[in-house]
Amino acid sequence: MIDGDIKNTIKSAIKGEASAFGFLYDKYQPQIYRFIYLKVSHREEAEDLCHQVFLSAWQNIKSYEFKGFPFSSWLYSIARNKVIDHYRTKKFFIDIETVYITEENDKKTNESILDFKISLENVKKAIPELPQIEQDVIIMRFVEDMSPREIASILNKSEGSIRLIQHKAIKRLKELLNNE
Amino acid sequence: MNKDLFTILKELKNIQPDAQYSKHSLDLIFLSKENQQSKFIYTGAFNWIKLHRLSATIGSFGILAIFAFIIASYLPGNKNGLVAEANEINSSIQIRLDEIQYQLNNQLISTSTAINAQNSLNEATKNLLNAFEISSNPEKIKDAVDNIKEAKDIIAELNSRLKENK
Repeated sequence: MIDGDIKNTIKSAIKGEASAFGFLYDKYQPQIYRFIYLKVSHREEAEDLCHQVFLSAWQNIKSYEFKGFPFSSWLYSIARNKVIDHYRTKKFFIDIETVYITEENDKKTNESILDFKISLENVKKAIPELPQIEQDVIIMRFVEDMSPREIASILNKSEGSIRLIQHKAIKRLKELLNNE
Repeated sequence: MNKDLFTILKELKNIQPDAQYSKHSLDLIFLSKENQQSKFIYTGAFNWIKLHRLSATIGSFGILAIFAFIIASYLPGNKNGLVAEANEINSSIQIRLDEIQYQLNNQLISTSTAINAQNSLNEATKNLLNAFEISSNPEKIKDAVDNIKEAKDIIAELNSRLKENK
């Protein structure tokens, strides 16, 4: 459920309060950026698309209606459409870049960092090779830790379908990684 | 796969957008509504953000220019004049870049201006990169100096163009 504070902030943003939208941007932009980045595998393209998502959200926020799901569901829907449009209109190239490693990872030993980076890069390279819907489910379920119910609402599918897609996606991802 | 797939997927949550990009992006979003020029901003937005990045990149070349001249300063007979010139060019580049950043922050620029500015900054970057690469060769020090001066001129010209755009 959406908490009261966020609900009030959304109401303020709908009224046109820039600071309220700024708060929502700060809260949700990193995960939307991550979602796009993992799908397009290119930092500048991800930044461009993420900007378009929030620009579109700000311009259309009056049309947002609370339907029992987090505000991020609405943003994910916009992001999915932007990525789909992007693939439709642009010839795409893969350019996997170095992931930002947090301080937590810095504590690892050199050897384990190298091993970790190799694995991480392999997974990053493999995700865009999955079908779009499987990419979405993998990112939302395992990177962002969203519930199947929430994912179902964003992707407009039943929870059962999401679980099935999730199963197929993991299987396919493992196959891709084993073929590396 | 030495590491569990699910653990790696969780680690992907560490991917974060660049803080400067995020700030500029939000500024542009608000600007789009305030100015009722959303279409213009939409098309020009990323040239604008790229311009900021480019000018920041070139800012870091000021230091490279100093390095190039320090190398040059070890050559017999070159020392004082070249180091003084290096300091002067470096200051000049930094001042112009600060002005360019200020103008990018304080005015709306058209897409064509943004593209032209981007091309200029790319050209200046190429010159500085080239200068840095060849500066270790004593025989090419003069070429490196010329490259750096050319970059300085390009940046100064861009600065003037942006000022006229007001």
